[in-house]
Amino acid sequence: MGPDGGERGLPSRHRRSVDARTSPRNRTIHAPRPPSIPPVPKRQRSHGIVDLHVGPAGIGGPTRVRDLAEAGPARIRFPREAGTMEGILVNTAGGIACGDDFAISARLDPGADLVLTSVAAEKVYRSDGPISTVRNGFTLGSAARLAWLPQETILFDGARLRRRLEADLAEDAALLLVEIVAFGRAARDETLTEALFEDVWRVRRGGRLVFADTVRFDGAVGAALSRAAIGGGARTMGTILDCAPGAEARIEEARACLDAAIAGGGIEAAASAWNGHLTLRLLGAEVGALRGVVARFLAVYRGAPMPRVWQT
Amino acid sequence: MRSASGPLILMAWLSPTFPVGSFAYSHGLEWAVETGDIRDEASLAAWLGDVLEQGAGRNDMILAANAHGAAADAAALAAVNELALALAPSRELHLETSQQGRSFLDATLAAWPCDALAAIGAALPGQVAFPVAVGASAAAHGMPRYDTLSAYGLAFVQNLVSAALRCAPIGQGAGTRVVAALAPRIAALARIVEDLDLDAIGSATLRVDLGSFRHETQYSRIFRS
Repeated sequence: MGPDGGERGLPSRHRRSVDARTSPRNRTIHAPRPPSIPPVPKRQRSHGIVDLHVGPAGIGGPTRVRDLAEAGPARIRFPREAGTMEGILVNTAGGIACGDDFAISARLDPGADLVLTSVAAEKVYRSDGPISTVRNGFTLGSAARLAWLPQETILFDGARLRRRLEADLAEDAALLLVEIVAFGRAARDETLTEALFEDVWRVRRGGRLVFADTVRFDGAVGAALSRAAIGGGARTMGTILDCAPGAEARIEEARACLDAAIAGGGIEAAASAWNGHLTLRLLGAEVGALRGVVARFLAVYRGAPMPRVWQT
Repeated sequence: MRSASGPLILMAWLSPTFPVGSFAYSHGLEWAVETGDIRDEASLAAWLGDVLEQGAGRNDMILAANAHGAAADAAALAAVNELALALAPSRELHLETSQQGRSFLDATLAAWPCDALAAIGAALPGQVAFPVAVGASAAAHGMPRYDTLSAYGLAFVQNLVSAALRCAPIGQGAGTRVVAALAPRIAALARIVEDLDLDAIGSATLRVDLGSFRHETQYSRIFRS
């Protein structure tokens, strides 16, 4: 869909891929398949692509879509709202499983201002072997601003996911990254015991690598998260990275915002700032509470309400 | 060329008396003591084992291995160093690796000069991550990669045990037993990571990273990390 909210002619890459995975997914936790049942037929892998290019309409003008390609079950919508342009990612397959591959990229011309979010939490289901991949790539021109505010990623027992986020920033571009991951959902009796989860972040500014983070869990994730140095019993994690010019100097402000956002307890969180950027890390038992802290923190820290899709 | 005094050089470089100031860093252990996560021999051994095998210990050893392999290639070495510095997960852990790394390289350049080391000094003129400085310097002096990695891992663990003795209710005997218990795991890890490339980097010690954030505002502390 175009920036005016209407369906528009899309490049030839746009194709409804054969998505045979419409049957309800196995949400049963710890339900090994009895050996008498033959293996499931090989499923069609989903290949989802959103390739977005935005830029300001004239100097200082509102940000507009310059080009957009979508493929497979990946879509982006632009609700007509006042203020910063907002793109809402939609996964029409309803989740990620068994070797699916998603590639989301956004290129922001100098001066562009964009918020990207997702319509719902991304669910990563049990895989019977293949590893799913998610690749997010952002390129920001001079003075461009991108806030990456997807809703949480929920890993189900047996999920296998490799995710990679790469960002290339001009010296004075502003990037805000937020990710929340739930290792199962205790409140819904969805316990995660075993999984593969790798999350790679690489941020370059002016061609220099300024932030790198790789989280990797492989195997008995549930047991690992119970250990003091790993999760201390947490089942959800959040990370916020502010790579805007001047972010490092906002550390005391960020700590005050965080203290106010945490109010109550149950979430362990703190901020640190170095090398020009500011980072928050959060751990908690339950994703709903952690998501609430993130939303309250960002509303004050960004000075802007969270995307409407978050306010449910 | 490998010098006959190679093992002695590694012992000197990774000794607590080598002038890199490692006594000032606890890698977040001081906060883990504050919270009670580390309170006795067993909890220290568990915490340290995870930091070693699923956290900075393993990552540092992979970085040292790659710096060792790239020691003669200025551009590749600079790339390993850039990644190592960017991977530091907090302000204090960035200080921990960059201050020790610079001090280490300056000390070896001054006391163990050779052409290969001079080239490394030229390739790394600014901030240097500690494992990169150690791995590259060891290669410059012909030290085998496995020996370098296992010595680095042991020094990493011993430094944190030493920190624990100073800030936790843990005695010398318990600390020594923890080192003894972890030594074979260090050797095994060095063997596993010696040929891994940089894509193998990855950590699960989320609470060490978060604890390092919280250490910044800890009311009373004796360590810089």
